[in-house]
This record gives sequence, C-alpha cells and structure tokens, in this order.
Amino acid sequence: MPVLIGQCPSCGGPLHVRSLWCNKCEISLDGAFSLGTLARLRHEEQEFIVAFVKASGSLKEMAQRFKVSYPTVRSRLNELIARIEQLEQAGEHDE
Amino acid sequence: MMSDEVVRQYLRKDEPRGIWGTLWLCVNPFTRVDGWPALGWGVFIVAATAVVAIRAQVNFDGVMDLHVNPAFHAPAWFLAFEGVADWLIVALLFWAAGAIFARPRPRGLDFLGMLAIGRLPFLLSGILLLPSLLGKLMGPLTTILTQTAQHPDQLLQQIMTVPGIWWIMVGMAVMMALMLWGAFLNFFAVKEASGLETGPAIGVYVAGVIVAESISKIVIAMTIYRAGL
Repeated sequence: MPVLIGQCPSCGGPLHVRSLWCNKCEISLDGAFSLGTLARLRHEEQEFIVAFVKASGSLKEMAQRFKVSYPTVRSRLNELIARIEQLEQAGEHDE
Repeated sequence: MMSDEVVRQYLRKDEPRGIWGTLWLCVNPFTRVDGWPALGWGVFIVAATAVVAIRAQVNFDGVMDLHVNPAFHAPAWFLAFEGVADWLIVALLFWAAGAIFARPRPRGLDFLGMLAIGRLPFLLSGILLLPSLLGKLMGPLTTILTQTAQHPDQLLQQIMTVPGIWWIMVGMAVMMALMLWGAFLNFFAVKEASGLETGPAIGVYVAGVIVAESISKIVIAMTIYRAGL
C-alpha cells in the first residue's frame, strides 16, 4: 500500500482528504477531511516518532538502537518539535 | 524499506554517503560516539598527550597550539598539566556556553568526552616532535632562530643550512594540516555536544576559543609563577 503523504509533490502545499473508502461494506464518503498534524509529517519523521514511543521516549535507548550519538537523536527530536509547531501554526492559519 | 532502516537514515541524514561519509566521520565522529565511551577514548588521548609532551618536551600551552622551547626546561608534571588544563578549560567553558545558549540544556559528559577526543590532532603533532622523529632536528633550528633574531635578513639563508630542514618543512606542513583538522574536530565537538545550529555554533565556537585561549594562557602563567619555574 502506498505511504500517505501530507504535502503536495508539485507545489509543496498541504494535502487534504477528499474521499474515504470502507473496504468491508464498500461505502465511499466524499468531503473535506483533515489529515491532522502527525499525518502531515514526512514518512521518516513518523517512523522516528513510532520508534521513539516504542523506546519509552528514551533518547539514550534510541542512540544505542540506531548506533548514533545521544546529541544526534536529541537534535533530530528538536527539529521534529520545531516542525510540529510549524505545522500546527500553519493548520491554525488554514482554519 | 524496513522501519528501522528508515529511522537510521533519518538520523544520519546529515552524513555524506560512501567514501565521503568515511572522511566526514574523521572530521565529525560525534554523530556516532558520545557519553562514557567518548570520555574513555578522550581520557586515553589526553593521557597519551601528557606522556608525549614529557617525552618530546613540547608545551601544549594553549587550547589550539603547541610550542617547542629548548630554553625552557619544564618539569614533567608541568608539561602534563598544560594539556590536561587546556582540555578542562575548553570543555568547561563550552559546557557553560551550551547551558546558556542551547535548549534543551546539553549534557556536560558530552562536552568532556568529545572535546577530549578533539585533542587527537594535537597528540599526533606532539608525536611528530618526539626525539626519534623531528625532535632531534628542532634543536639546531631553534638555535638559529634565536641567533638570527637580530639579523632577520640572514634568517632564510641560515635556516637552509639546518640539517634535515626539508624533513622539518614536511613535518611542519603535516602539523599545519593536523591543526586545521583539530579546529574542525573541536568545532563539531561543540556543535554536536550543544545541539546548536551551524550558525550559532560558529559564533559560540569562535568566541569560546578566544576566551579559552586567554584563560589557558593566564592559568599556565600563574602556575609558572606559583611553582617558581
């Protein structure tokens, strides 16, 4: 299954969901659905968050598992925090 | 691609690929080594530097430099002390700078370990000056430099008569390259340990080196005065 993307590959603008599909009863719903902040993150950023939660939020464990230094993990986390804040601000402007 | 590989690539996204990646790790190994392992390697480098300083009679009398002065016969403890003092001054100063400018507050352990590893180029420079290498050739050179201080016009002519002058020149070129490597290695140690962005990290590093160099000179001069050397 293709990975869901939150940014337009053409202009970089935020993407919105226009249609939902139920595989079980085959109902289709059309409308303007929000992706939410986490879904707007890049695939690798989402994977980082999943790994971070699985590591109980331990930077040290992340550093050991992925064989990078503790400050490198902390630096990526800082970048991610800044990006989430940016997306939240952009979301507020959209509303 | 497996999730772990995606995360690993995301964490290492600033590292170049292939042969450049290996070269990059020589300049910035601090994306891989940290904490207690970094401190362990660093303490080994600082201790080895102290041994080399004593054997080669080299003064590590500043955070970014070293000198050979045959006229100054320093005791072994003092030669060892200089290198340790340089490391601790730099580490503690940048730790303080990191605590002021970086958010979240960085770990002191990383500054101690990474900046101790940053002493590696200075250790290698000191090794080049061991008596069995360039050390034995440096005596005649420093004598000529002292003698021709009053007659700078004769300096080049006199220097060319020093035995092994070409080896000394090659050694000096290697040492210049090592110093340059040291400057970059220490910069990345500060950048990674603090977590600062490149721009602010350059500012903190340049200001920190100037302040640390001044503190180091003062501490060493006070030690010389107090010990009556």
